[in-house]
Amino acid sequence: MRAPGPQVAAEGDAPRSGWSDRALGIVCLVGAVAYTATARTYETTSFGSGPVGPKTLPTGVGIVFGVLALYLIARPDPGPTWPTRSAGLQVIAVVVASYFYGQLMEPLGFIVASGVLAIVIGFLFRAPMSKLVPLSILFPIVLAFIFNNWLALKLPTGIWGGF
Amino acid sequence: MLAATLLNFNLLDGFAAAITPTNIGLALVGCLLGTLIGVLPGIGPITGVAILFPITLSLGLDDAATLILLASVYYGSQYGGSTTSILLNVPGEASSVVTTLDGYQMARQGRAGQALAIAAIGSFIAGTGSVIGLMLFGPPLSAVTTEFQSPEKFMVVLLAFATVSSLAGANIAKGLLAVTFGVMLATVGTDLQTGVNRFTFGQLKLQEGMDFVIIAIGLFAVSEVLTLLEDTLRGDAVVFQKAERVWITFKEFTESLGAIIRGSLIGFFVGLLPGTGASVAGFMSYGLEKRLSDTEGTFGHGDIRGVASPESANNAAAGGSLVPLLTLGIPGSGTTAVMLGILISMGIRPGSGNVFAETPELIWTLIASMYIGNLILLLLNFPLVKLFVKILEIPPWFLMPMILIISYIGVYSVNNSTLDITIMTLFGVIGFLCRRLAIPLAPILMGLILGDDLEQNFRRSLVASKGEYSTFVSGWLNVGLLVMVVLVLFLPQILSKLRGSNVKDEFADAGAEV
Amino acid sequence: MLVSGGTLTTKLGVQPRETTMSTRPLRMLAILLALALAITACSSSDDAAESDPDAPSADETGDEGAADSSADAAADDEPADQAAETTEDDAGDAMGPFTPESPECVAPADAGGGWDFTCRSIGGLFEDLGLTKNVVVTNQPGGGGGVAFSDIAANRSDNSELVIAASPATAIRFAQNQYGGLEADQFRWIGAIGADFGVVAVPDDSEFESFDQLIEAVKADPTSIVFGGGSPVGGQDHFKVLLLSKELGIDPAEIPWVAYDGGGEAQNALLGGEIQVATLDVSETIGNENLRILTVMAEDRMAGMPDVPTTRELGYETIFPIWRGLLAPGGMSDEAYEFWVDAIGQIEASPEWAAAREENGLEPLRLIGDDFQTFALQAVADFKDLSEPFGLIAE
Repeated sequence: MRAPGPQVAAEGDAPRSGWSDRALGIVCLVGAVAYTATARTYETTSFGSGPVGPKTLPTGVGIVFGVLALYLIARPDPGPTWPTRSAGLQVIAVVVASYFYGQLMEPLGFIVASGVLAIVIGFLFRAPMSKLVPLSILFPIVLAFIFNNWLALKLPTGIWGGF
Repeated sequence: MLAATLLNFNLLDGFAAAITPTNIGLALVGCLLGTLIGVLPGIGPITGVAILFPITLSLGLDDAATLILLASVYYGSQYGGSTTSILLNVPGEASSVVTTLDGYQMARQGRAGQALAIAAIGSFIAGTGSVIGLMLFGPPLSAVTTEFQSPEKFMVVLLAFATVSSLAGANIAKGLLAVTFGVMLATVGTDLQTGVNRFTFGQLKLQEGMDFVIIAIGLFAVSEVLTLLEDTLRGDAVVFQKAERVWITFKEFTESLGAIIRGSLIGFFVGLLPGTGASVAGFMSYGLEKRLSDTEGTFGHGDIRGVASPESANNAAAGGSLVPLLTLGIPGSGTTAVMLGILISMGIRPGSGNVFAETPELIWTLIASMYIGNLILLLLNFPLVKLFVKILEIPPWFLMPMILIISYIGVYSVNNSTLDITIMTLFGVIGFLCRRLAIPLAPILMGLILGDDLEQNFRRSLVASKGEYSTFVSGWLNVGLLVMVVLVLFLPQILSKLRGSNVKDEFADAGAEV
Repeated sequence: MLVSGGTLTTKLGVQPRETTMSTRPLRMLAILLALALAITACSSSDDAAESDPDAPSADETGDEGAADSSADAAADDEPADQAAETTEDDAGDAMGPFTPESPECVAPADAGGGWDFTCRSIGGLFEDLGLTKNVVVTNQPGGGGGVAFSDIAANRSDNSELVIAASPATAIRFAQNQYGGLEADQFRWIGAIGADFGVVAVPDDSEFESFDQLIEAVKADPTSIVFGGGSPVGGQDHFKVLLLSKELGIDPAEIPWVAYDGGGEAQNALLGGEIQVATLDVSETIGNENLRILTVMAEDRMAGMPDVPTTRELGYETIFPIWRGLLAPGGMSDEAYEFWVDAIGQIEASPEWAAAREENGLEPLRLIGDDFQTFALQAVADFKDLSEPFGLIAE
């Protein structure tokens, strides 16, 4: 796993404030409150024998999470280097493409949807299109063949018709 | 009765039954097939064996051949899972999460070959060790298994949490935040002890809890693709350095040997515990190894011992889990449950008296088969490593969509739910943000894996003891485990004090980014 | 396929842009993929496996149809012509006008569990006996079956080619409103053709020699003996205790019951003494000499446990059959329903099913068509009555 760590602002950049961690802290704090409040509503059935019920651990965990969030707000690390706007947009593009991949896989079928996804992501990674397109078509076909015929796992066929 | 069995083992007979040209050929096929299955995320050893079992039956093989084929598939798919963890940062199942930490870093540094090799060697040594352990101590060790009840398992889970606290990262608060988040994820689903649905918000999908594989692939693989995209655009991404060697040197082997042996021992003993063993083994041995050996802060940055340790532990745990299966008839994991089914279909009922004494041929054939599968896999590793390393030479513009598609479709094909793809993508975004904010990802998964064990074993203990908290310190085993928890948490500080170095520095080292 | 793989390699023989992008790996990849296809093409004929009923028996120890029990997971693609050979001459008439084109069996759980076994074993026999074409098995896990049921009710409710595996866990979850508001009568219950049974087990060195002895002890002090099993509270294993305590007039909430994650863990707790009694199934415990089975919750003795008395023999009303059956979407046409009922009846009568049943420790059972519909709805109603007082019904 690659975790770049807090990429402390390079020399020359204006020193970054801790707004990133503060924002994270606030999000986590809201999450902690919502989580703990939800946990408090869990009543045990007649059988919750034993002194510890279904809400005990979640409550404790929620409180710890909230305290850690408060700590982050109070003592944030220097902010990381966030993506530039264009890089950020392209990252978002991959996320959106992946979302629609899931949504469209059943109507379009595995092969078509995967081919489109591979082309979109390859394009964002600056692929030479002359190679990307044929590979993006071939690869899902081979995968579908292996899954359908070899592993006895059915993939959505959609408009392609499949094997 | 036990002593007689001990001395009267018939492994050689088992080998004699197992080693025929046909069987060796089957082992080869099984290892290759298993590797292919294991490479697909979401389809791990359990599903692999479950899928192939009826097919092997239809081939009309004798029992020994069937066992060899399935054992080979099992080892192959486990190895396939390690392969994707190392090469692509895609952990296909709980046990291979830890392998990604150093394995993937090694791959990026052009040392994928070494990582794959030590994974295979470590697994082989651990497999051999656990077969010996099973042979010599199997029946007596079954007493250990039943000794570990809910309070003891709770302590073991605590110990696992303590050992992996070394994965917390530079900022301890963020490490804790990550673990806590993981435990919060683990509380989603039906609560076993009361039947109450927690945090499901009316979603039927969530009643069985968060699917570990989906979250692991989202957090690790999908977010890796997003991160690499941004790095590529920034222009500072050499994704994978070119490999210089594809096999390890003798020096690297001797360096790792300690980690392998310790990993094997931890894995074997943790594997004895039904239910808890398999997922904990890798985390625990990695955490301990980091505590013991990470003097230069190289763990998490591509330390070969960081691959050797969890891989050995996983394999040894698989061996350890055979003890309760064969002696008590208790399947402690999904894999052993499948294996129990296979044995029953062959007319062996583990747990009925002493299978070692009553049906020795098949039991020893089983053990010999596992050993042969292990050995064939090691031999196959020489050509396979060369092949696998080539995958990294596929240019990122095609490797990245490949990773995404294989991850998505692997999971979809076993669950038939497109919602899973959305959840994976969501956790990909969460993982991306976590990386940017220096929140370590491994503790999230650890919290998710162990959170449920922690809570359920705690509450089971209290129901069974009718509310007596003293159940957690009754008996030498609990007290011993508690002492170990304390030792693991504070030993580094004590050691560094003894060494005269500054405690704070030690903390900074231990906080190497993960 | 081989050809396109070959073309690819030549097409890709272009000088790459970056140093990391040598053409060799791409060529390797193409060759690998082509190889994979070739192997696939050759092996797919070998894979035409007969659906093998040797799969070990398993059961949804938890409500969730947990997949932690056993194996058997390959769909078979037996050639249709072979199936035709075994078709009896008059089978066509018996089947009526409806025949499914692409029959499907949905196992609402992971591969390897009890519902999966039902689909793969019964589904395979549909084809083997020439009743249908190859039955495709689809695993749709989640929500103890709820994900599959709600998906089918919402999107495929008038599908006549589709059947779903079911067991008492299904009925319990319907009764407890765990399927997102779906009711049992929104589905058509086709038939159940085999049953496992609940057992009451203690360790072989237990102080309890007989079931009566245990009951006496529980009656004397319900809180004194800790029970446990492999399902959540309110799930299948817990219901065995609920039913018995209702018959005995004991408040079941007083009986300590520990929920484990599957029957394996529960057995370990039993052998280690954490719980004194476990409620499990025949298939989980048969032949395990570390356990002493006090009673089987059935009418007649099990073939595999001839020495163990049944609850009926001991004078109790309670029995707990874990039937294995199929149901269908509510919008299935009457002709289709009759087809499936007739087909499952033929399977039940076949020697093939008898063999598969026995290998998996299932006792014979024949509850098909309207009989099964009535039985299942009654079971759901009974489970509901039992769940309600204890707050086990989801809102």
